[in-house]
Amino acid sequence: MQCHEFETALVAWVDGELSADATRAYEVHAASCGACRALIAARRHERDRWREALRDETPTDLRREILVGRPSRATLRFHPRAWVWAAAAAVVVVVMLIAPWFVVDRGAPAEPFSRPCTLIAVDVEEDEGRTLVLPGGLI
Amino acid sequence: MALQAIRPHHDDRSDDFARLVERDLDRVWRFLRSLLRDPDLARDLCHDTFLRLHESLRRDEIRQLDDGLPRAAYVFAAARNAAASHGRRARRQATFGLDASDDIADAGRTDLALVHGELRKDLDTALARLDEDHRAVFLLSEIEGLRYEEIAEILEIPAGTVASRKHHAVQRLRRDMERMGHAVS
Repeated sequence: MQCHEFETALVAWVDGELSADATRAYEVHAASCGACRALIAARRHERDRWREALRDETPTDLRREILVGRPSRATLRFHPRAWVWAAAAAVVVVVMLIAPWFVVDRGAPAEPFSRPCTLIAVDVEEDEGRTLVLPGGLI
Repeated sequence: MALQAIRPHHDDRSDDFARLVERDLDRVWRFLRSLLRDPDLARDLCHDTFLRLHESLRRDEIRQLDDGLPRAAYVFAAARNAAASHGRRARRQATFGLDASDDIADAGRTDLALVHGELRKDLDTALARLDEDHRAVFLLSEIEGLRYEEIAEILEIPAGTVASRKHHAVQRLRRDMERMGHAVS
C-alpha cells in the first residue's frame, strides 16, 4: 500500500468500515510509516473534536412534552401558508356580510295582485291651491 | 407543519414508547438540529418523528425490533422522512413566495453562535455548505456512529455511496474549517 492509497481510505478505516483484507494491508503500512500514523491520529482527533462540538443538549422540556403528549410550541405555531387561507376566508366572510347592501333587485316586476294584499284608494282634491289627500275606502 | 398534536400515550405500548424516547430522543434531536440548522424546526420534527414511531409501535407495524424497540436505522429513517417531508412543504411554500429557508438559516446561526461558541458556529457554517445528502451521511456516521450499512438502509442508497459521501464530506469540512482557522493540529 502506498501513502496516497492509505490517505484515500483513512476515513473509512477510522470508521472501522474496511474489509478484513484491506484492514490488514492498512495496518502493515501504518506500522512502517510514521507520516501515515500521524494522519490516523489527526483524523481521530478531528472526529472527536467535531463530535463534541455537535453534541447538543436536548431541550429539557422536549422529552416531557413528547412523553405526556403535549404539542410543541412549534407545532402550534401558525403556519405562514395558513395566513393566506385565513385571509382568503376573511375576505369571503366580509363579502357575504356586506353584499346584501349592494344588491339591487332588477328583476321583473311582480304581477299585480300576485300576492294577497290590501289597497287603499286615495282621493286627491284640489282646494284653493292646496292638495288634500283623503283616505278612501277599500277596493 | 401539520397542526396535529401528539396524543397522550396511554396504551399497552406506552412503556416501550417511553424506553424508545429514553434511548433515541437525544440522538434524533442532535441529528435533526444539525441537519436542519433550526432548533424550533428540529423540535417540531422530533415531535413528528416520535408521533409516527408511537403510531407504528401501537399498530405493531415494525417488523425488525431490537429488545422490543425499533432498530436505530428505523428511528433515523423516520426522522429523515420527517425532514424530507418538511423540505417538500418548504419548497411548495417557496413557490407561493413564502420561502422560510433564509429565516431558518439565520435563526440557526444566531442561536448556535450564542450557545456553542466559535467552533460550533463555524462547524455549522461549514456543514451548511454541504448539500443535504452529504450532511446527512456525515451526521449519521461521524456524530451518531452508525455503520455504513445502517446509513445505506436509512437513506436508501448503496453502502459504497455512503463511504464516498462520508469521505468527501470530511474533506470538504476539513478544508472549510481550516480556512476559518480551525486546523487540526
